[in-house]
Amino acid sequence: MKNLKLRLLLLCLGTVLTLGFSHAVAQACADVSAGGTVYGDFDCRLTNACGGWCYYSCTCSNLFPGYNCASVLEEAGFEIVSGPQC
Amino acid sequence: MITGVLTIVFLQLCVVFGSFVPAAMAVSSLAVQTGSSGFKVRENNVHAPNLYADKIDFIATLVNLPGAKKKGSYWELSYELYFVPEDKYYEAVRRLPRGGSNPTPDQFPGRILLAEGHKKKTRLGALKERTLTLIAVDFKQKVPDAQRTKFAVLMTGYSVKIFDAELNTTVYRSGIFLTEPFETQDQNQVAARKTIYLNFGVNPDGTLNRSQSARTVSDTTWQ
Repeated sequence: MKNLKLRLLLLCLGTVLTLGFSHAVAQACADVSAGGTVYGDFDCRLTNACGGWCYYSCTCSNLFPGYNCASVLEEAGFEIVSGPQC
Repeated sequence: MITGVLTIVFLQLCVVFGSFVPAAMAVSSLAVQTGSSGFKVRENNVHAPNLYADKIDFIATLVNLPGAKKKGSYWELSYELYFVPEDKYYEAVRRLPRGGSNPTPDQFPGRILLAEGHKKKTRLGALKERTLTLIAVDFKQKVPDAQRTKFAVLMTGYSVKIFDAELNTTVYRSGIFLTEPFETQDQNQVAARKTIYLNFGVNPDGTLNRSQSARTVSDTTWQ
């Protein structure tokens, strides 16, 4: 019984640490985010990191005909920002 | 039976209308893109010497620090300004892992050093004291004419350490910022970039804001 409690305690501790660590990692903004999607390649550079948000300036290349940079970036998981940053 | 037939009809309609979706997506994305200024499509190796300033200023600012007026607070900054030729930059980017990464200046071979320095400031009460300015760094003459292309890169490498005596917290960070040699002005006009900014701010919870957004010298709001 004591062994079970210890295991549960360790499991909870591990869960908390994992969640905390992944949260910390998720908060950090990458300086560069580059790659490609089926619609084309993108190169995004951090311009502002504040309030838990990462803001990027992006360029695209090798676009698939009929698609544009927004298609590439949306596919890559970026949200389009038009308002003020922070 | 009826349900099965309806399902088949529905799936066939999906296939038919699905073929129109890419065009619809392109149009809607274009509308979104027009309303924002966050990204653009690049044309390779456009020679644009007119977009290179002869001299460039560098302004680093610790915009906010809760304990700025407290004795013991300090701000230590090491910085390097580089020019990275367009072809070298994209070669380096292709070598980076796909997705997000925090590369160092060393990962961009072919870069040209424009300026570097290190400063530790212990008097931080006024914004002027939290500002580091380099005036008239040689730029254009350090870049060979053939490499003066539109989408070459100005890179700021930095390493910062800030101690806030009110929060009793030390913040560390090192990284790079990248930008073009030109800046976009009103109505999408572009002109040679005259100033590189490097801004930091410590939040009341001890986290660090950082940016390279242009800012007015007396402004203490984060942007």
